[in-house]
Amino acid sequence: MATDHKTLQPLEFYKTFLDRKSRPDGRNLLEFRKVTVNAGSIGTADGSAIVKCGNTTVICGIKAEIAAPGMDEPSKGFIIPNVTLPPLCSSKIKSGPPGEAAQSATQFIAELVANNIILDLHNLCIHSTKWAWVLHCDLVCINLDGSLLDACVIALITALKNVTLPIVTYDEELDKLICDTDQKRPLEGIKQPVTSTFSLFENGILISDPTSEEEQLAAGLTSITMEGALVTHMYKPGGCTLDEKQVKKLIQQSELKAKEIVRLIEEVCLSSIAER
Amino acid sequence: MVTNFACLQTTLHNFVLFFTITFLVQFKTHSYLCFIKILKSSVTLFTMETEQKSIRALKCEQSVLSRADGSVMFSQGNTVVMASVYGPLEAKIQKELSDRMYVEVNYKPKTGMPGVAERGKEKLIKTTCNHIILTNLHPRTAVCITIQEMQDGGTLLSASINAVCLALLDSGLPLQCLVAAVTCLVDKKDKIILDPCIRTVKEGYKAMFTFAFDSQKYNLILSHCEGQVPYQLFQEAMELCQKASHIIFDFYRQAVLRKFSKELL
Repeated sequence: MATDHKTLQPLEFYKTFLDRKSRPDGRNLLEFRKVTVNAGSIGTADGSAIVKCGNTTVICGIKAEIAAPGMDEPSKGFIIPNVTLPPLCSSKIKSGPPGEAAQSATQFIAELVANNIILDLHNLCIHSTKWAWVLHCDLVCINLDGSLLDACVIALITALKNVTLPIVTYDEELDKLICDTDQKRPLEGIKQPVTSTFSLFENGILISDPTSEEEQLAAGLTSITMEGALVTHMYKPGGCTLDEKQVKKLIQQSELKAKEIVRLIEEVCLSSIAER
Repeated sequence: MVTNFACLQTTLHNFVLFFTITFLVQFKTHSYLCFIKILKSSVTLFTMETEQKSIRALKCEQSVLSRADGSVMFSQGNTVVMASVYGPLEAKIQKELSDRMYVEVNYKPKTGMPGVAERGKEKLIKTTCNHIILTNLHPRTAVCITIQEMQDGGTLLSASINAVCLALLDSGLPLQCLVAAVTCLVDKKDKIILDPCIRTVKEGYKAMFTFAFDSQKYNLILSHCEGQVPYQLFQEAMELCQKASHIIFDFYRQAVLRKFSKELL
């Protein structure tokens, strides 16, 4: 009976739950799903992480290479994010060139990088105007069940914290790079942004950390990125409107989540360093 | 706030004029030059102030394209964009939605092919349009919105959204509400500058926000940020943009009035 109702009238089915301030998976309206983080699981990458937020799973692998920095910013390195949504992650994703969801997620991460929210790119410089590190950050989603951006940001930050780079020095007189592969050191100056996604319904109900089903039924989405108490990014691409009170509520909620996630990432990184 | 400021400005202006006259009578040549300097500095001060508190001049020309259902050439200061709306059209089979209209947005940059950055803009505009157009009135159809960037004067995203809204108005598609987008910038001294020009943007900033509001309750439809600030400043910026959105809604009203008065004549 309940499954029939769900397939025939998904929105009405959902609204009966929302009216009672609960959700079909048993969560409260503003409750987040359980987050699991694992760092350094890919041996061939320079840094990696696997993150699960509920069922949404994202793997991030970082590969480092050396290149000449750009002419306009000679003392900055590069972070090149790429979010891939292979067809295996969801029945809604078709094979072929990257779709809109993957492209907009990539664009979101690229914007965070461009605004110095992830890492100060000056830390990736080896020698100004000559050499800098390029970090190719590949984020592959292997199970897409909503709140993709949240999982991507956590995976990216954890993987960056897991990166170890060989010590490279530039000999100006010989015009040569000297690489010491025996000694490796972690990256410095990684910031701690945390993204929280919320779904909005037409009657002003807000739910946090939506599943893909909830994302589909909702009238709008918002992703708020916080670093401590700083609002670093509020991404609200259209959809249902928000008033000031709701914005404040969302920001408070994401601040709480940010604190927890930052603690979790730190714990994971410490244990992965201990393992090494 | 704005009217208060205007009052102050006019009284000051009168005072300055009065001052000039008395000065001119008393010391003819020497102090006259000196006074010009003072006057100049006060004028620059005023323009700087107005740049922060208000948005740049808005201009539009509707129905510029003969084949489109709705089109507009819109300029906000030096930023110029052209938007066109075709629809409701027959939807492609894979894009067809059984319960509502499919909204397609194409953003064309000034040169070259649209890339990932343009896809991001398209998504923002598309979801905004999905909210404002009454899409469930035209099931199994599509509407095609094209935005052509003409000149980048600093606030392309907000200008594109405003242009799309005017083009939708011009096309006569039934809308739920109107939308007005405003960009503001927090400079390195934590000062909020409304509707920054390209020069201000290139000087560097702490954060840049684009907010879009609806015309019913002036609630937030779209928000896009670059850079980071404390919540207090974020809220101030949002409130300032919300106030400035009223100017854009007034402009829409004038544009429509002008268009229909012309048609009647």
